[in-house]
This record gives sequence, structure tokens and C-alpha cells, in this order.
Amino acid sequence: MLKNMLKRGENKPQSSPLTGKGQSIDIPLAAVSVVLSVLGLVFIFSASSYSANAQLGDAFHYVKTQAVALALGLFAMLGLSFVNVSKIKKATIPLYLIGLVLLGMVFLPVIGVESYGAKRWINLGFFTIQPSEYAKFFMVMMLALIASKTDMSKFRGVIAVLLAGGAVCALLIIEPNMSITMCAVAVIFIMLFSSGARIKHLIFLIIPVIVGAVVLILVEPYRMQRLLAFLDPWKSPLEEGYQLIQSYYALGSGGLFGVGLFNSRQKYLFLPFAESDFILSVIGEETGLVGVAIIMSLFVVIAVRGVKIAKQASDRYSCYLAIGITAVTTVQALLNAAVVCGAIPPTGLPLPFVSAGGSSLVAYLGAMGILQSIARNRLPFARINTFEANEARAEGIKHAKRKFSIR
Amino acid sequence: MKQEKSDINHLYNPTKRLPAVLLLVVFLFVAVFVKMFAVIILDGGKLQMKAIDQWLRDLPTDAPRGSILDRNGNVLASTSTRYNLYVRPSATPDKPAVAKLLSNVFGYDYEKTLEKISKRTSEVTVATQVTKEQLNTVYESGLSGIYYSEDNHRYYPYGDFMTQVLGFCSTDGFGQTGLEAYYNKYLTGVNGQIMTETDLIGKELGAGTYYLPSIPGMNVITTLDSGIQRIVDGAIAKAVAMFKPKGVACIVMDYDTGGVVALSEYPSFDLNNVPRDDLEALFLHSKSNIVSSVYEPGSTFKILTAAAALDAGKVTVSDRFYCAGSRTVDGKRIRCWKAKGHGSINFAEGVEGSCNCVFMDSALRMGTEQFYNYLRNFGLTKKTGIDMTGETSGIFIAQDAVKTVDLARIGFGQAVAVTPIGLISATSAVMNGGKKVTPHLLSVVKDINGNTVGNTGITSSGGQIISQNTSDTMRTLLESVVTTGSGKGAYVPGYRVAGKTGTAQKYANGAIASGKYISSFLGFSLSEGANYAVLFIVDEPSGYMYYGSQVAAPLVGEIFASMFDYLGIEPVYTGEEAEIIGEKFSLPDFTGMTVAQARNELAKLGLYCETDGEGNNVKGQYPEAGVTVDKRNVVLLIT
Repeated sequence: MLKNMLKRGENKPQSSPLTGKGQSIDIPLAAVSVVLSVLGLVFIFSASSYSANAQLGDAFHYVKTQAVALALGLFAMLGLSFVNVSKIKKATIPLYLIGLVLLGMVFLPVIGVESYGAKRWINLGFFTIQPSEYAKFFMVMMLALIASKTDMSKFRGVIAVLLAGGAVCALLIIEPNMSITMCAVAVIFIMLFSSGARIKHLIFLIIPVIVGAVVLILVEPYRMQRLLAFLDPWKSPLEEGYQLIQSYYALGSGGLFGVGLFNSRQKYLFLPFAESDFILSVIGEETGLVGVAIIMSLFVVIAVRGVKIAKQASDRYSCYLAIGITAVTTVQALLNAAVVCGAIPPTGLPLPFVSAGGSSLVAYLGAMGILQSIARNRLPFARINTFEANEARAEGIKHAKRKFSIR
Repeated sequence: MKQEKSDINHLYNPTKRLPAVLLLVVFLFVAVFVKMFAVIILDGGKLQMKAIDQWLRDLPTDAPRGSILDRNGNVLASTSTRYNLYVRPSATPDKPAVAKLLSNVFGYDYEKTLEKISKRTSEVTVATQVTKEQLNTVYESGLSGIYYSEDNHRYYPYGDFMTQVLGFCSTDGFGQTGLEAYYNKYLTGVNGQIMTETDLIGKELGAGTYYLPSIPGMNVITTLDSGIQRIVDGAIAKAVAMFKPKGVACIVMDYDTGGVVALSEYPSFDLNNVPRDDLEALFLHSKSNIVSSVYEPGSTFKILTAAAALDAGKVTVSDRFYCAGSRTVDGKRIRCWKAKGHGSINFAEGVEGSCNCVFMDSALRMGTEQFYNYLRNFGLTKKTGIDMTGETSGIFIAQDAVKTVDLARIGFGQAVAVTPIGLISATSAVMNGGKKVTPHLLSVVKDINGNTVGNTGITSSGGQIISQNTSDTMRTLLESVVTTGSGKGAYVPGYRVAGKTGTAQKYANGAIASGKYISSFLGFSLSEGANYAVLFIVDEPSGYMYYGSQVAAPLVGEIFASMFDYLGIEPVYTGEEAEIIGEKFSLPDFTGMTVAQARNELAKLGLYCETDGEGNNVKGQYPEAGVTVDKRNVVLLIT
């Protein structure tokens, strides 16, 4: 019986809900990840070829970087999907610490790169990376680990999660990177909620967050201006309101079906960050409301599959990690779409998989790999008692290994 | 199997809250999509319009301004395309050749031109208002470095001609004065646009250029006649030469329709060379005094008093009046121009002799209310509505403030001020059978294809002011002024001319300015087919002569003579001409005679005379003794 349990077959389907090994990857999730990334490459080419040629003398500047990142990202996704979650779990604390160190490195001279008044990149000689893209996933892993080992119905559990998440947020906000911080805070709350924190604790916590957000807005005058610009961009069409107005022009020109692929007019330097933060505007202009609907639906698919994977996860850590990764992806996509259509104040946030940005693409594809790894390890019919049993089983295996000296 | 060290809450199911999280996420996606829908679909059209505006750089192309023409189709003002020439020194390898070419075509100094185009600037303007022919000559040379741009050039073929009527445009082609301003909305076209697709910084994308053609302005066809205007200009030039006056103005108008055929004023300027630097002169000379200034009309106003009194039945032609040289009204002695008095005369003789007493009596018989009613009906208290900018109305003492003495003075044209256009319009009604006329310059507006564009709303005839009978009587009375009275100078043999002279003293600071007169003549052609009124005003003639009879009447006579000739009106001789004009003879010397003796002698010769001075003996005369004259001449006796 025990031997039977120890038998591992990578490709052998298991009927027993207790074993759960050897499940296949989540095909829809994999497909959506790849489709979004490839669409990203296409639209980055469309959005950036003119501006890159005009400003950098190379129409393919962004496309080349993105293509390399896509290759690396697919490799990372594939690789990570074969890595057992338990190994990831073990590596959580070191990775979290590496994430913090990387975030700290942006403030170092020479290595740290400043752009648009923020220190968000580190220069590794032959390429630059944006640590926040990785650190947010390392943070999610850490939060999942804490939540899986702590009684989250107690306030001390909540505090432990908040401290681990808060450290990352603190480093993000001093870059400064308000948008990723907001994204991270939202993810922390989703994870707290999902891992069973009491509602009254969450409400108790949400008040200081709101106060903190207001303070942060008041501290940096440009945030207030952006906020006002969002309410009425036409008041300052050449200053604060410029980005949003240009995004409106792109979307409005698109109509239902768009002006056709590669036919954007706004990309001729009118729309700033057309290939990154505002790529959804270009998609809207070229493919219309239909195109925007498809892109947003693909993110809903990620949300649905991610939650499904979390539901069927074989243990608490996997469940929380799955929900965390899904939360990071969907929250960021939501915020980006909301910025582009003026539902919330403009803030620089790339659209996952689609926007130009190597670090972001590699990180997201890597995260999808981890999600696939969790999927491969899922227990489709498991319920609370099986969690118990599975936890026990893991312990039992350890015990048996020790007992029988099996390696 | 119990794990003691584990503090997991085993009672919590980690999947419990996942549906809620998913629900929230999906809800938020739907919410954001709704906003997307609002922007893309609901606001889409409006946003796209603004976006297109941003994508296109537009270069305006000037629409050519419409022409102003006279009633015979002669162009009075037109716009033609001219060119500005530039040289870009950096693109001009053969500078001496270019300098030689430019100096040949435009008559420039070679050295200076060479120096100019050798400057270290990106561009230097070498010629403006270049004609197409000149441009072709320049380009046939094949020399590089010369560039051109188009420019719409407003041109007035006759130069200093109808200056105040036509007006001029600002340098960017917007009508500023005269007809150019009044009918600017018709004359101005709609500018076209050349739209080019560009990126944010204006770089052309080569995606396409859209051309929105301009719509040329419409042509304004006026009632003016450049032939008659030229006749009038000649008379004005003559007046200027003879009397060196401060100003001269003349208007010729069809008294049946109110159509103005000529309007000329001195001083003026060449419309092709507007003195934009001298603003004071520009302002003074560009406004038309005929419509925008008032003057005391003097005896010409008596036409209106006579017409009103006759029409009201307060006087008849045969009523007798006695003139002792003055009337005392309300204890104030008002003098007739003839200090010795006209004696016992009837109304017709009073008109012929322009007796102030007769007109004082006429006004007094009517009373203020009736007289003012007529003046109001003649349109003098309001603007005439002529289609020129800056018109003013006449100035009258308020009706309830008119004292008897004022009423008497108004009767012979004092204590009132009217615009020349107001006076000619009011008297036109007297002559045309009693119908009110609205003076106007516009005949019709036509678009570039010759289609008539809308009605201008100017009615040529209005209500009946005086009866046809009164009008007929006035025509007879005023004709005799020309055949036998002070208006003899305006007589044209073979034609019927009526009229009235006017000599008014000028006021300065509320007091009579001595030696400053406004001499005028208001004449009407009664000949068939030429219903024209001519008002000729000489402001401050210098020298001895200031009587309207001597200054203005002969010039109006010349204008009428030339006009009849120009219009091809055949003369009709009745045999009276010889009697009116008589034989030419040498004027005798009257100096040393008493005024009474001289008058007798002149009456025997058939000559009308005016006197200047209060003395009893003739000290001088004009024309001088020995000058060949005929009966049309008026002799001035200086006492």
C-alpha cells in the first residue's frame, strides 16, 4: 500500500484522488498565455515601429527585445511547469529575500537606472531588468507560505502576511512606483481574504490603507494633478490630461471593429507609451471594441482557470500561490484597462504579456509555468478532508522514507 | 495523524472564498468593459472628429475676393493673384546671374541686389506683388535659388477714384471702409484648405493630401457709373484749382430710384497706395463727408420749406410777400441776404430770388409741428439708410424747444444741420413726384457663375410725402431759378435743368466764422431719361468768390452738359436758349458806380448779380471789366 503510494509515474493517469500526481497541464491557460504574448508581439510592432524608427533609428527596437523575452519566457514557463511545487515551496524564502535585494539594488549608483523620475530598473550590463516584475511574484510565494502555515483567523497571522507584503510594498513605493504598489496591496488583500482572514480584520486594515493612499497622493503633487486630470482631461489637454486624451482619441477612432491591423494613426507619436502602458489603446484603435473585448476575455479566462487550479490544488501552499499568481495577473490587467479607458487616474502599468517589457513578459510566463506546475499536481476531487489527508500523506511519506530509508 | 507543531486552522477550507474572489474579478472586468464601451462606442464619433483634427495639418488657401463693378460692368476693384519672390542664398550657386536677372526684370540696382542675395540668411524677399508675366520671365531663366509664394492682391484700376465709396481692405484682405467694408460678407469668399497627414511633430506621412478648394467671393454690382464719376472728378479738380478750397464733395443720384451714380470727394488718396502710416489723414480722407458729416445747408434747404408750405396749402405761388431787407421775429431782426430788400414779390419770385423773408413767412405759417412733420417725412431726422458705413442723421432743434425765431431761421436753412446725402434724398422726393427714395449704391450681388444672390432689401421708392401737384409746381419754380435766377450758371442749352444755390456761413465754436463759407448748388435734370440730381459742395473756397451761384452752379452746369453728352441725351431746342444765353460781349466796368446804378446796368444786360460788402459804391467786380461773358455769367460786385 505504501509502496503503491510511493510509485510515481509522470504520465500515468491516476484514478485515486489521494495521489493526484501526473495530471496534465491546463491547456486553456497555456494557450491564453501564449496567444496573449504573441498578440503582444504583433501589436508592439504595430505601435512602436514608427516611433522607434523616428526616435531610436530602429523600427524593430522593441520587437527584438520582446521576441528574446518571449523565447526566454516560454522556456521559463515550460521549465517551471515541470518543477514540483514542493521544490518551489522550499525555495520560497530565499527567493523572497532575493526579490527584496533586487528591489533594493535599484537605489544603488551605476546599477540603478533612473527614468521618468523613478528608479525602477537595474542594469546588468548587457540588459536591464525591472525587479518589481519578479519581486511581486516572490512576494506572492512568501505570502502563500505564511498563510499555509499560520492560522489566518487569528490577527497575528494577518500581521505576519502584512509584514512580508509590506516590506515589498515599502521598497516599491520609494522607487517610486505607485501603480505596482497599488497592485501589490490589492493582491495582498485578495490573498488575506482567500486564506481565511476574518472580515472584521480586513475592514480594520483597509482604513489605514485608504488613509495611506490619500497621504501618498498628497505628498507627491504630480499624483494629485494626475487625479484631477483623470476627472477632466480636457482642462489640461497638453499637460496632465494629454495621455488620457490621446488614449481616448485612439479608442474613439477604433469604433466597433477598428481601423484595421497596423493602421493606427495615434501611434505616429501622438500616443505616448503606445507600445507599453497604452498598448490596449492601440489594440482598441486597430481592432475596435471587439479587439478590446477579446483581450479582456482572455484575462477573464486566466482568472477562471487560475481560480480553478487554486480550487483543485493539492495543498494549502499551492492553493494560495495559485490564487496569488492569478490575482497579480488579473489585477494588473484590470488596472491597465481601467487606466486606458479613463475609469481610474492614469498610472504607468503595463498590460501583462502584451505590453513591451522583457522583465514583465518573462516573469508572467514564468508565473504561468508555476501555475501549470500546481495544475499538474492537482487533486480534482479533493475537498477539505483530503487536504488534511494529503498533508498527512506528505508527512507520512517523509515518515516512511525515514523508516524504510528510501531515497 | 496529528501534527502538534502545525498551527494550521484545519477547520478552514481554503477554497471556500475562491468563488467570491472570482465573482469580484469578473464583475470588475465587466465594469471596466462598460467604460470601454462608453468611450469607444458612445463617445467614439466625437473623439474621432477631434482625433482627425489632430492628425491633419491644414494650410489655408485664400479665397479670391469678389470684384466691385459699376452699372456698366467696369471693374472698380478686383483681386488678382500676385507673387512674392524669395531667394535662398544657400541654394543659389550663381548669385551674380540671379542678381542680374532680378535687376533686369524689376529695375533694381545690380550691386545692391547682389549684396542682398549674398546675405547669410536662410531666405530673403526680393520682390512682392510680382505679376504672372514677371514670374514667368524669372522662371524661364532656369536659375536655381528663387522661390515664390502666392498672394492675393487687391487692385483698384482707377486709383484715386471713388476712394471714399469703394474703400479699401486691410493687408489681410478684410474690408475696412466704404463698400469693401459694407459688403465684406459678400465680397469675402470661403478660404480653402490643404490638409496633410502628419505625425505629432508635423512630419508628413505621405498618406495623402486632401484639397478643399476655396469658394471665391461674390461680385458686387453697384449703381455707380464710372463715366459720370470721371465727369464729376473733372469738375472737382477744376473747383480745387480755381478756389483752393478745404474740401469739395459731389454726389450724383438718380432722384427717382435713389441709385447713386457718382460720389466724389476731395481730398482723397490712391486706393492702390493707402497711407496706412498716416492714420489721421487716413481716417479723415477715407470717410465720406457726404454721408458722415452735417453742414448748415443754407438756401438749398429752401426747396424743402417751399415744397412743404405749398403742399400744406399755407402758401400759393401767387401769394404776395413784402421784403424790406429783414423780418423782426419775436423782437429779433433777421436779415434777408439782400440788405435793400426784395420789395413786394410773389412766392414764385421769392423762390427765384431766394428771398429769406418769403421762407421765414412760409415756415411761420406752417408752424413748428407741421413743418417738422414734413421734415420727418422727408427723412431728414433719421439716417437715410444708404449702404455705406458711418452715416449720421441731420441735427434739428428738439421740436418742443423750437422758438418762433428758430422756426423762421429753419425756414431758410439756418439753425439746422443735415448731411449732404440727407439733403439730396429729401429734395429728390420734391422733384420726383413726391415719392420718398432711399439712396443706395448696391444694384445686385452675383456669384462667380453670374447667378444673382439674394435681395439686398433696399427699396427704391417709399411713401408719398408731397403731392404730385406740389412736385410739379416745385419743378417749375426751380427751373426758373436756373433760367432766370441765381442758378443761371448751371444752365445747359437744349436741356432742362432745375436747381437752387446755397451759400452758408460756417460756424466755429458756436460763432459765425468770418470769411468761411460753404458754397453749394443742388441741381436737377428735368430732361427726359436723365433724372439725376447733382449736389456740389465747396467747403471754404478761398478768394473773392464764395456765392454758390458763382462757385458751384457753373460747375454743376458743366457736369450736366458732359453727362447729357455721355448719356446720349439729345438736346431739344425751344428758341429760348438764345434769349437766356444771349450774345457774347465784353463785360463793362462798374467800379465807381453806386450799387443801384450797377444793378440797373446789369439788369439791362441780362446778368444776375451778387454783392459782397455793405457799402453803397462798387469798389471791385468779378469777372473783371473786359472779360468776354454771356448771360449765364453771374457778376459779383464788391462794395
